[in-house]
Amino acid sequence: MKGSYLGEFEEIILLLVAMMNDDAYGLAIKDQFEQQTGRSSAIGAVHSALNRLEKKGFVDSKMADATSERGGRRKRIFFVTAAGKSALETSRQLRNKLWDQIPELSWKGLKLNPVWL
Amino acid sequence: MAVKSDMPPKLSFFIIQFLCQQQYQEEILGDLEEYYVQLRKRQLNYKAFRYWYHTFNFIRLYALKIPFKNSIIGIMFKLNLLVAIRSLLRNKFYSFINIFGLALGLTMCMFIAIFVINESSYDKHWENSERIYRVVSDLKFNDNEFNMSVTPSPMANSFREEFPELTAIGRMQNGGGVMAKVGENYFDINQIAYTDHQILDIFKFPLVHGATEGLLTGPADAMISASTSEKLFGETNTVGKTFEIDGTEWEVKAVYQDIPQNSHFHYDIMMSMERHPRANSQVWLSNNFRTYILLDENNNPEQFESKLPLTIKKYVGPQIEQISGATMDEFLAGGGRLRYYLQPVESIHLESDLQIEIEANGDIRYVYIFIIAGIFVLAIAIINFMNISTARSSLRAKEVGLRKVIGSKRGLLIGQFITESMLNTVLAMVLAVAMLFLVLPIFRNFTEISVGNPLFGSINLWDDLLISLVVIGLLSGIYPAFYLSSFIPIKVLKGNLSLGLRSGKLRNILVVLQFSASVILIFGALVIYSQMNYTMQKSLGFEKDQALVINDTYWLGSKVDAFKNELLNNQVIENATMSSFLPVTGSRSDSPLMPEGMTNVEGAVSFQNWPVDENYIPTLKIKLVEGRNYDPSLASDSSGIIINQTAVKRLGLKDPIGKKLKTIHQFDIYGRNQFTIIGVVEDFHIDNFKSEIWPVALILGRSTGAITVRFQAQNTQQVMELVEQKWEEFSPNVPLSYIFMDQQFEDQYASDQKLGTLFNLFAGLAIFIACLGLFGLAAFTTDQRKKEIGIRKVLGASIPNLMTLQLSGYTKLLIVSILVSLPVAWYVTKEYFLQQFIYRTDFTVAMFILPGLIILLLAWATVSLISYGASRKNPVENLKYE
Repeated sequence: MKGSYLGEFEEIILLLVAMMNDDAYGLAIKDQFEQQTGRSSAIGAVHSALNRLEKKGFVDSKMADATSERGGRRKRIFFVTAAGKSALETSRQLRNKLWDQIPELSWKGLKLNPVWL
Repeated sequence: MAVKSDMPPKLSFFIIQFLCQQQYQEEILGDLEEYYVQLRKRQLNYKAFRYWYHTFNFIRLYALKIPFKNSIIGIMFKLNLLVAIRSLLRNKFYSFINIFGLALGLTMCMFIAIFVINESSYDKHWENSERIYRVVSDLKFNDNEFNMSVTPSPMANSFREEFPELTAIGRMQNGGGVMAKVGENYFDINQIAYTDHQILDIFKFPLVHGATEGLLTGPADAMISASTSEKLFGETNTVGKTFEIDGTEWEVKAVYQDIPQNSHFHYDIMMSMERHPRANSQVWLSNNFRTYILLDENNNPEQFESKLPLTIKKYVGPQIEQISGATMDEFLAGGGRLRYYLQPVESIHLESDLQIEIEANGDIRYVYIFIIAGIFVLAIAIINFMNISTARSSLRAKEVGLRKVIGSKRGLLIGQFITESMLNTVLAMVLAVAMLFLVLPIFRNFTEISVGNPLFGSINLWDDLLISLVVIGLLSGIYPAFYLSSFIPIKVLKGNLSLGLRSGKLRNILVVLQFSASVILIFGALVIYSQMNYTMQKSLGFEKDQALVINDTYWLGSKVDAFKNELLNNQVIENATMSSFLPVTGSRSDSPLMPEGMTNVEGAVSFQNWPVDENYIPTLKIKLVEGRNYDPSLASDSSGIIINQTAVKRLGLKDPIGKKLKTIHQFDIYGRNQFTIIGVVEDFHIDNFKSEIWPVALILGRSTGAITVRFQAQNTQQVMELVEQKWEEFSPNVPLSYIFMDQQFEDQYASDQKLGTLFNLFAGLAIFIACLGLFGLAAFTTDQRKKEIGIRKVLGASIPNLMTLQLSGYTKLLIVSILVSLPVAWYVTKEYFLQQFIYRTDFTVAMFILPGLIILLLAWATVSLISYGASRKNPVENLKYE
């Protein structure tokens, strides 16, 4: 299957869409993203990621009813599809599986390397 | 800027609407407006910046409007491109041959374009260059013809009076290379010119320092180029500083930008004409000055030229009459000619080939030769593509058949194949541009052409590249496209395998064309090489090897004789002569002489009159054929003269020794006006082989500008040391400047030789590309015949048998191309190249055999690479799938 891979940014956006249920549209997702992760992002980047997720079949969208806000323009509301859910689950399981396999020994004697941000 | 109004900036909406697809606009604009409202409520810095940052972040690939994205054209193009890329990748070998060959050809063409553009850009950079002309002379006295770039001294002043309609007219006098003295230091200057101040109205030299106003009007005025200024004084702002040339002091009044490389003169210093000894001469029969004019817009050169004869008659007529007794009309009626005409300054570099040019000019024939070579190479590369695509057609036949069955129209198929050739061309072009930039530094170094960025600089190639991209793409694709799309589905789907051979005839013709072009190029390269070789080895009439020319000896002043004698007294030096008039390059001076007793000026012959000493003839090893050399012990030799054979012929003398010659109108030549011929020397070449041998007179006289010493080859090192040591003794301040005469001679041909080398390189490349194509073609046809080869081998054919079989087909083609092209090559080189040399090489048998042999051997080697592999293969491998 072409492009079923889920990138880190995409995964977070997908999780946010699931979390925000019924109120997931571009700008709102961007705001949530910033609140939850503390990272900033361009609205365009969120739109672009949503667009990719839709192409991969992980989210679906519909236009909401028009309101007086946004100059009468409708919002595009995103929601997670079954494929999206299973992609998230696969990703989570993979992580859990890997976490479980980490021997306790690995954490012993960790050095604190400076991290340059 | 803070966000003020309620509404977001309209511009941002406009940008989004313009760039983004309709389907995304609503949500994007909605989010933007909401974000805007959000921003207004919050306390933040840089709100406007944030808003615009997000706006521009919507310009992303997924949302962009792509023209034709969803139209038939767009979809078809995408599909065609995909098919083209796939077919390119499927056959990496053939694709490589096509693209690499084409890229090589294109690179070569770009270099040729740079060369051609540079050659034709000469002197076009002057302001009003299309109205600047040089007056040149076309003279005939008796059977002496002169086509010279120089004119009489009084011409400029007389014309200025006679023709008020001339915007400007002025003279320049080439003073050659000199030593300039600043303080106690001496500097070598390449070329200086005595210049009328009116010249500055014609050529507007851009000044770095100083003012044009009143420039070169004072007797000691000089203007120097920026780089000369750097050289002499270490800076460019040197207005007011002084330097000395040959004991005369000059003051820098202005510094001008270095004259661009694409100009017909490159004077480093221009000095006021006033102090030139012949500046005010009224003699019209001596030509030493270059006269330039600037016409105004309403005047054309023909108009101006038509008025000249009357004026010439007015000024020159009396002088001719005075000398010869014949009136101007009689002179003209007797076949004499005194014509001056205008030469557009823009045409000088490529078209002017007169006697006494300032610098070696280019030659329009070289430009044509290179254009032809470029076209040949490009054609060879295009033919490669056509041949390989049609030959491989049988592999594409099924594809075409199936597409047609499914409903593809012919036009669509043609579109598809054209897309393929376009893709090839684009890739080749990209590769070619990469190679261009890679090789450019070497090219720049080699040709000394000062090119900047060839694509977007003054040599603006990018638009030509785009045009040629389309033309080459279409040209190489159109035949395969029409041919391949013409297949009838039912035939190809039934499996008619002879398809690849159907186009064989045309392919053969194309191969013949390719190799004919290669043969012509090799032949041309051989002729050029042979001509160069001839020039280098031809007997010059003097010995250029083992002769050292010491320049600027006039600095030694009165010590120069002592210096010469010191050198002569040394064992390692065979001989030494003092004269700045030397055959290869040196001073020149001409004036007419005629036999005593002749009264008609038409009998006069224009001579190069060279003052020499008694060592001149033995030092240069010029052969005396009659009479004797000067003898310093004979006082009468001071009125003696030694002339060359051409002079004897021109004068029409039967028994020259003892005959007397006189100047016309009692002009003095080195203080004398009557000479007795005491010797005749064999003709020797002066300047170069492109010009005919002139009458030369060697007159006992003093010219202290150069000393030439003759030595034995094994003593070269000692001679150099000796000369350096003696120079140091005699003139510790002036740097020694010397050159070997053979070096000097080769320098004259440096540009010709470079062009020859370039041409060889191009010819070699052309053959390489042709062989590349043949390799691809052979690989393909051999692949097609592998079953046949297998069966033949099973039946007992040997490897040589099989190889001859495969080679014989190509051999026939090659022989045809050799037979067709040799006569063409012979005719073209004879009529258009060798024609321009007065002393030219002969065609040799080798010239006719070698190109064919080279082509045959290369082609055989190429085909053998393929056919040997195929013939050696175990037949089982070729047959096992049957």
